[in-house]
Amino acid sequence: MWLPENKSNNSKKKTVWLLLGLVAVIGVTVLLILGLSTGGGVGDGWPVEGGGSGTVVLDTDFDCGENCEGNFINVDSTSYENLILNKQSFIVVVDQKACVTGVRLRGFIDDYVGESGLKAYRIMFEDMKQTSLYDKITYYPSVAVIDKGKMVAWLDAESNEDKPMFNEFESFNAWLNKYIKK
Amino acid sequence: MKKYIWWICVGAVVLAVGAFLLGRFAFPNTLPALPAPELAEGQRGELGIDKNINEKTIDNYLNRSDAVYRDLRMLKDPGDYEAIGGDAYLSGFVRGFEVVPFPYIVNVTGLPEVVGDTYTGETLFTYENGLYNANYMESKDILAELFPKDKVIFLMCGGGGYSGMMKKMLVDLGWDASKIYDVGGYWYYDGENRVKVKRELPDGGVVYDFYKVPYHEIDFGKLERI
Repeated sequence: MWLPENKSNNSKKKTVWLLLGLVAVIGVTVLLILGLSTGGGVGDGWPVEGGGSGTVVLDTDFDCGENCEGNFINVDSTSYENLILNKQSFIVVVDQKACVTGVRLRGFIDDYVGESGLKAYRIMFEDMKQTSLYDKITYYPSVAVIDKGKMVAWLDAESNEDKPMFNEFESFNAWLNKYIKK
Repeated sequence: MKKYIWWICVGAVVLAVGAFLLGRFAFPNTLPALPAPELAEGQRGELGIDKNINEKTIDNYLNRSDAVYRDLRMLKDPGDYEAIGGDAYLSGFVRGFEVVPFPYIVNVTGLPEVVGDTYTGETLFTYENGLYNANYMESKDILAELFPKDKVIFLMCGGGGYSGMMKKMLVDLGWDASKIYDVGGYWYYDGENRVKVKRELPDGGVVYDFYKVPYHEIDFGKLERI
């Protein structure tokens, strides 16, 4: 028998309370971790998933400078995050260097911005990985709609629902028009 | 009692060594089975990228003796990708993959106008009206050499475009689709086997260490044109 025959009841009670306290600490810690990890909504009513509601009024008066190429303004990760910090509203295209992947979507975007007169930012996938866009966009090409610094919609290359927007201009046009007040 | 424990330990060691030797020499080439090719969800599936063996999981399938690994990019793509903010050089690859430029295999079509034509030089095949026509007497042999029919073939490029086109071409020409995996794009790869080719210099310049790249050259000047 490992306990001395005359072990007091007080010692046993202390042991039980100690174990209960330990379980409580572990439980609270786990709950805190779970609570922190399930956050992620935009927080102001905009849905996080592609396909939100409402319209976005874009700031079309871009200051192009020497980064303009046709209807696109090339940005890097720093420039992009500054746009977010300044709560700008815009379209951003995610693309990548020297790649034929997504040629069709590039054509749709070219046609859309050409017809609408809107300008769009363009960021390379490599740079995009350093930005908040990478929380949602993990493949290129893609298009994201930003409203006052918050992402409200984007095209997901892994989503079956988004497949038509990658392959049919009418679908792409209709999707993007949902978010843009011209 | 101690004597028995001693003999038990010795027996355990002998069994362990025996099991190792048996596995090493009696079944030397036992490779884990591969999941059947299956298309990814969404647009990635449209490109032909595999759901199970892709950029996220390819590290689990490298160095197989029953497979070849092909990266379909060019070392330098002559298309005017600067027009879309591009760098046309191969800046890195996954260790184990060997570069076979897809534009040397067959003519590339469907690029955006602003990029213009990419490589427009010689190709082993010309794709026209749904058919692949060999341009050289050796074209089919070279294709079979680079993409052996008796091997599993893992294909990769920058974003999955070229690798999807290559898989389609091989299947159209009679390769077994169940043995070809479009792994997707190097740009999505975050594994342990990245080999960097692009190197930034202290003065801000950039060099490309192409000597690191296992590259299959096709010398069209030595081939017999059909």
